[in-house]
Amino acid sequence: MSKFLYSILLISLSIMSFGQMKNNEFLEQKRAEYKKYIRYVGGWMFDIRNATPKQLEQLKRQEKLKSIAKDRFGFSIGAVLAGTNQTLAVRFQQNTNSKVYDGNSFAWGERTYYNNYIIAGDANVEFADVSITRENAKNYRFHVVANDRKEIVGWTTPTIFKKTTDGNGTYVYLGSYNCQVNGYIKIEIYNIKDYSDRAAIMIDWRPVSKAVVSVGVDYKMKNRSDGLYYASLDKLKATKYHNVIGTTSLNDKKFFLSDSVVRLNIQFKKTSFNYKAELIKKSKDKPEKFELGNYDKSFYIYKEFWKVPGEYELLLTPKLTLPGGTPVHYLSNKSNSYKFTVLPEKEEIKLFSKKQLIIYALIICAVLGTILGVAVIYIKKKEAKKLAQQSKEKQIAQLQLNSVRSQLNPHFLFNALAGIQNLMNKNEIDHANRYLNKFARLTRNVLDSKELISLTEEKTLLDDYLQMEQLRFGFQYKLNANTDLDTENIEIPSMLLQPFLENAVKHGIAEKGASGNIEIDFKKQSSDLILSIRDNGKGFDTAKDYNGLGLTLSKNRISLLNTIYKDTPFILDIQSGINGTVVTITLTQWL
Amino acid sequence: MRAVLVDDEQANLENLQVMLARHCPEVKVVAIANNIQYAYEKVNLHRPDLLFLDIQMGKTTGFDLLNLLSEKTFEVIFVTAYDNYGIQAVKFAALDYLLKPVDPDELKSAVFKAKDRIASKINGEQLNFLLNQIKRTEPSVPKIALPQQHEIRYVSVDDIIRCVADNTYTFFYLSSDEKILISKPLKEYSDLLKPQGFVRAHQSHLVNPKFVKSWLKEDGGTLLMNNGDKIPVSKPNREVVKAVLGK
Repeated sequence: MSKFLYSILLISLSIMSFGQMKNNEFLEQKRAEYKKYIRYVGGWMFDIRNATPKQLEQLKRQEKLKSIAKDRFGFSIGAVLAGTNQTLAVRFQQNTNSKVYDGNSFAWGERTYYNNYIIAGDANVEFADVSITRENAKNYRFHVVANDRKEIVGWTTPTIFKKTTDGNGTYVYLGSYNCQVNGYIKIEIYNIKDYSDRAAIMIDWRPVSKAVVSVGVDYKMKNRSDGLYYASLDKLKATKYHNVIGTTSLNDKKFFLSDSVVRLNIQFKKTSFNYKAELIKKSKDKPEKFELGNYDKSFYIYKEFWKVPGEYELLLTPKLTLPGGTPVHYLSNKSNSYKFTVLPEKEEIKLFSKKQLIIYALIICAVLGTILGVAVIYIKKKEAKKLAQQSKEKQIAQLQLNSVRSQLNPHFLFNALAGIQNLMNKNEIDHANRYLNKFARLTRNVLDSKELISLTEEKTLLDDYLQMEQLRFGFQYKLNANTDLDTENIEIPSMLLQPFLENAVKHGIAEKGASGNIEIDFKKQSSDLILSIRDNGKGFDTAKDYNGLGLTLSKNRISLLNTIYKDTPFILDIQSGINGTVVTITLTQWL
Repeated sequence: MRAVLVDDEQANLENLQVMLARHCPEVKVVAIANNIQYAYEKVNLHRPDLLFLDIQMGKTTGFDLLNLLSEKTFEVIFVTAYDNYGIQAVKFAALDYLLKPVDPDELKSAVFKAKDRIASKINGEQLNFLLNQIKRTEPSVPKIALPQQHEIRYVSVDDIIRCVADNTYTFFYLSSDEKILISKPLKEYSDLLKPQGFVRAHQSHLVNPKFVKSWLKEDGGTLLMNNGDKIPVSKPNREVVKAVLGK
């Protein structure tokens, strides 16, 4: 260790040096006061008599850094190196030919940037921290990573303390690290109790290289407003896809001037230092040169700089500074030039003049407009006619439906009356009363001529009816509504099932007596409502047009309903065999 | 319970008497009357708890009798042969009624409810509401009585935005931003309010078209209400809804 002479680079602050003042007593007094009380820390001047605790702490740290610096300051470096919160220090090995430059600072977390040093050579480094004390050292962890990839030292608590030779300061020593040939290392340190208390330094041994760039043209595409398109100048295939590009060989990069071309887009292979960018317009007599600025990631050269067709050269020169920012070194032996040619705008073949075009366009518009207008009027008229026709049809259907419903009345009513008569003749007063009420309910339903009734009501009516008929014929029946049906609120056309039920009773099971059976089911199948009546009567031939009054009327009625509920057709299905008849009415998409 | 029966047909009076004796022995018929004049005297004389009142009696109505009686300290169960305009008014007032021929079960239930109401003494108010509704000469927007558990709300039909079925209950959404639950099925209000212009958009939704902002095409048909609520229109109801909205 002692072989090395180290210099300490620390985060110190400029000290006010006072200019010569006039030999004036007042000024002398002021100067003494200044010297005694006024301090510059972190770019701020303050009076130590009314400084904030934070300022005092920064002042203390600065004093300490100065003390360490005096001790080891063999390597002259600029004064202000970083913000006042930087506490990490680095020493470079002295006995080499290495040069140290300032690199572009880097971020660790948001908004906080840390120093980066470029070593041209193979000097080793040592790190130290001046804010850590023996008391708080246990709260800190540091690690060292090579090439953002390999941890040379894992997260470690600092333990080695060293004293400056003048005995004024103690600092924590964070180790010595060898040169990474063609690589870089980063030291990061943070307080485990306060992550905002952190610092880092990067040392980069990668040789300063010529700029590596890829260049393209940003342009707008006709009839599209979705931003800019990028066309590479460095790809031969680009010529095929972007008509602004005219590159024919990689030694001859070309593009065409046009209104749509916006700018050149230059992307660097990232480095930790800047390149100075200059654009040279070649010319026989006198080349023109524009300074474009310093860049390390990407930049644009707008059309203004190359609006004249011709040959251009983009010259990129590494720009390095000694720590602190001065002096500036341009490494012209590492310059790189990128040549390209701007071609004049492609001539478009124009068939018509602008004026002619406008006139033709107007004529075509007028003709098309007239045709369209006539077509729209024609279609609207036709549509209105169709609608009127449809509503007329619907009205007729509604009227017919009403008449069909009333036609059902006598047929049904007299059957029901016959049932009650039968009870009266048997002198069953209580029964007669009950059935009279049922009859009243049924009659009321017919007379009410309500178009729709709820499933609950329909069920009650069917039940009333079946109880009355049961009295006459003595059959069995079941009436089921699936529990997934909201029977209270689902509505169906009234008197829909009644005629089929009458048929089932009269022609199906009337003669079977107690062995007759009728099952009525209300079911839901996806969005269809399925109503079915099943009897175990002797059946009939569905192929023959069965002339029972109720059935004919009902078929008629369903076809009328279908002209009204066009989108939700009713499907009637009758399956009849020797074992009985099943009538199913499906109200499609009803639910 | 002491009851007076009013009907212009002797047969009906006798019928009801027999049925009350058989099915509701707690009701004691203190008088029967076959015209309004006689009924007025009997009611004033007997101060009954309960009045069975026929609506249509020749040229007069049961409402005429009620108008004559200044103090309505009794419950009324209306009795009618057929669902005419009178019964509509009775329904709007949420009063009880029986249809002829009287069903024993319905009779029992009506008497049971009347007993309940006598205890809570809220009947006079409903009767006055009913008579006021009938007296209206100029065509104005009717009100409807909505019986809640402890009070009866009288709401103008124009203040009802929509009704939503919840099984045998109905939610009323009012323009005052209130939502009230009534223990009657939507079907009943649907029948009452459809003649007032309401439209059944869905098996669970009855809507006042005055509060419909627009017809949305989403989900095959949806009504957008002024307050931003969206009401589904089921497929079978689409044509009806469109017709009502004038589309």
